[in-house]
Amino acid sequence: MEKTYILGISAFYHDSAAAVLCNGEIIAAAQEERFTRKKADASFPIEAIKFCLNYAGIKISDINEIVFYDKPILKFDRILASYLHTAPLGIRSFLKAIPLWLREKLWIEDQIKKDLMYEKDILFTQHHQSHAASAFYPSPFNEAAILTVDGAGEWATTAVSLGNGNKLDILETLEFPHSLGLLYSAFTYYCGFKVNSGEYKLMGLAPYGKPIYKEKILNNLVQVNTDGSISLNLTFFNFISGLKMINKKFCKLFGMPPRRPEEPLTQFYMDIAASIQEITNEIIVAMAKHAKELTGCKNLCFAGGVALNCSANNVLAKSGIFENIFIQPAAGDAGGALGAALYVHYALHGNIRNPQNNNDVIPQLPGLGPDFSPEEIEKLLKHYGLNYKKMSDDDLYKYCAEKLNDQQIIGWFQGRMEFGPRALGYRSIIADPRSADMQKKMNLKIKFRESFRPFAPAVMEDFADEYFDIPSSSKYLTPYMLTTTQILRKHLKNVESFDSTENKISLLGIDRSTINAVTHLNGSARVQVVREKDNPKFYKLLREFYRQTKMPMVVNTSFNVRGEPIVCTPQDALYCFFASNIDILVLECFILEKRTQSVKMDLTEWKKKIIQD
Amino acid sequence: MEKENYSRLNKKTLRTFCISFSIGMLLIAIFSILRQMFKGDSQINFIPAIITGILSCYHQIAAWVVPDNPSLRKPHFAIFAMLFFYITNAIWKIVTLIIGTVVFGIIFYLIFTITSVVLKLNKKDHIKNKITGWQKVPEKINLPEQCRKLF
Ligand SMILES: [Fe+2]
Repeated sequence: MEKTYILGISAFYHDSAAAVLCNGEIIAAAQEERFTRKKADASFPIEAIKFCLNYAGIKISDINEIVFYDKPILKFDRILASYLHTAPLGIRSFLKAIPLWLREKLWIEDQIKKDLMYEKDILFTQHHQSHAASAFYPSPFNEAAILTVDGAGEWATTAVSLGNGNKLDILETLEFPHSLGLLYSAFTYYCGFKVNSGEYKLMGLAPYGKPIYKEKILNNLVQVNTDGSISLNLTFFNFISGLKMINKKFCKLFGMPPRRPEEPLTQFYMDIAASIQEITNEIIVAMAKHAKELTGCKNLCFAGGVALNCSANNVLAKSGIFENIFIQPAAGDAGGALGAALYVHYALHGNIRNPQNNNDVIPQLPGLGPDFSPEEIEKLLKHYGLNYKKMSDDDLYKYCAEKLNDQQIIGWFQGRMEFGPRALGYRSIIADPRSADMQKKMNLKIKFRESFRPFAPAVMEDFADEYFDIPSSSKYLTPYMLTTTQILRKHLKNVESFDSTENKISLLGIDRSTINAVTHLNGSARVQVVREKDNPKFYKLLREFYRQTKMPMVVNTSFNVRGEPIVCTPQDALYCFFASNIDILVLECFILEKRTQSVKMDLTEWKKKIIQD
Repeated sequence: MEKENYSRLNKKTLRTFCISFSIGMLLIAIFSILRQMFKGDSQINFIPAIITGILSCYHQIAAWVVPDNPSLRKPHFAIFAMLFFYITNAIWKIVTLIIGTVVFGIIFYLIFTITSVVLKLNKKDHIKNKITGWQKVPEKINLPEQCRKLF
């Protein structure tokens, strides 16, 4: 049979990416930031495309179709309309945006053809179609409701679609400017985090506060209807054509200015975070109910940037509206590249789809990025004159488990890099979850980031239910770390202090549970359930750690420091290893101990690329 | 708000953009001619700018004045707009070099705004909060063949 290749591309908004399919099978997918080392790089993903072609072993002329993940002219229409609406106030933003559109964004078709020397036609799916396809086609469901929620695509900001077999139809949409994603981003900005990348910090901050501003927000900023539709009160926002998300009226409503990025976090902003998180949870549940009514399906696929909000996902799973929920791990715009390609394969070409309707997560996900052979790695280690040991798999697990037990922190680099924002045991930093000050140590000394930020546990499948309260509808979410779960009461300590203490941040470092480093202040954890068939090496490491310590989990955080994309190559891993206080680096079968290294690595170039977020 | 010709593309907005862009181009061309006449130092290649300006003005205004003229409606408009953007893009680069994005931008923005007010486009339904709540999506939008189109 002749092979058909489809290349999907997403770019120019945030987090650009490429994905390649061969006869519908996902061969490779990666975000551009991992190659350019520029976090959330939105430029044309030329490096990611090169990787995809290389991995598939093909040339650009072998690609049958290239598909871009949204329709630029429709988006341009929205942007022009926005300026018309606010004229003459939006001039500063207009002067910034329009030249970029005229120079670059409108000519995406030409740019693709020129940069890739590609001669055939380029296809364009709609933004929410791409999101929906990225969730539905890799899902294990034959039929599902699909909810896609993000900042804004072309005009749509939210869509309810129906997926059936190889068909995908958008049924209803909410349109710009009424957007849950933009509402959440407005609060991200207000709390001093970077829009489009700091949203997960806002989510992490929420448990430290009380939702005391909820009524104020609902009465003034956003109207939430019973059918899950929302409408924003635009007099408080500036995103339509301004350079900022919110205006003075917004700040006046809460009586506080926006927090500046490095200012200390006060209780006020924590309460704001808690309030908007609770509203988000409620809106998502109401939207899901609406999707259920429209489609009558028992399964839900969820995508778009908002689908990465793990706290909301937990509330959604617990609501019981849907029996099963699936989220593809690259749920944001990066995943749009994958969705666009899948849409062409299934919806346009009508290829038959065989979803495995069982408990299996999709085998290809999420390890879709580059991998490196032991020969390549050894060559690099020799090049730098580093001190290393080579180990068999069994020795490696034993050694790592011992070191973890000694409270050492390990950089774990194995197999193909993850597609999507979470590190899932391929490019991870791992540690012992038991100690009370591991969270602080890892935040401040390894990741160089805010001390309130929580860490996630990676737990052996066999023990997941012994530690966490996982609703059955979350079974497709937990392998990808896409939902928070409550830690079972029997493992929690000093529970009373969670509720009674006013200044919750003072509770950091206090003994909170038997798995302190991964226990968030409200007793929740963003768990990753690790199964042997998904990631055998990572699973075996956990099993060995359990054998030695009776603790079936480790702390699992992404292998990077603050402001850096997750490491991609062994070279990136070496930089990160030497720049941080990671004790041990595992590169496939090679082990490097920090204390035995006499070589100093030149990090000047590497440091230049780190952008503080 | 299901319309028969629902394509999510508000052609009026794009048309306003084109008209104002054309007028801006014409002004710049005139400015550069005058400048060359009096000072003799203009670097602008103004002839294509004038031609594009006149052509597009003619086409856009004709399309606007005689909206039912089938030859001036979609998909001609779209093809023309693309062509027009393409040519003006090249010119744009020259213009930005000489006059600077900011000066041109301000002129353009003012014209854009004034044109929109004249055409009463400043009442965009979406943003004026007239379109809220769930919108039914017409079947046409879901035709897979749509992905062969730019919009
Ligand atoms: Fe999106």
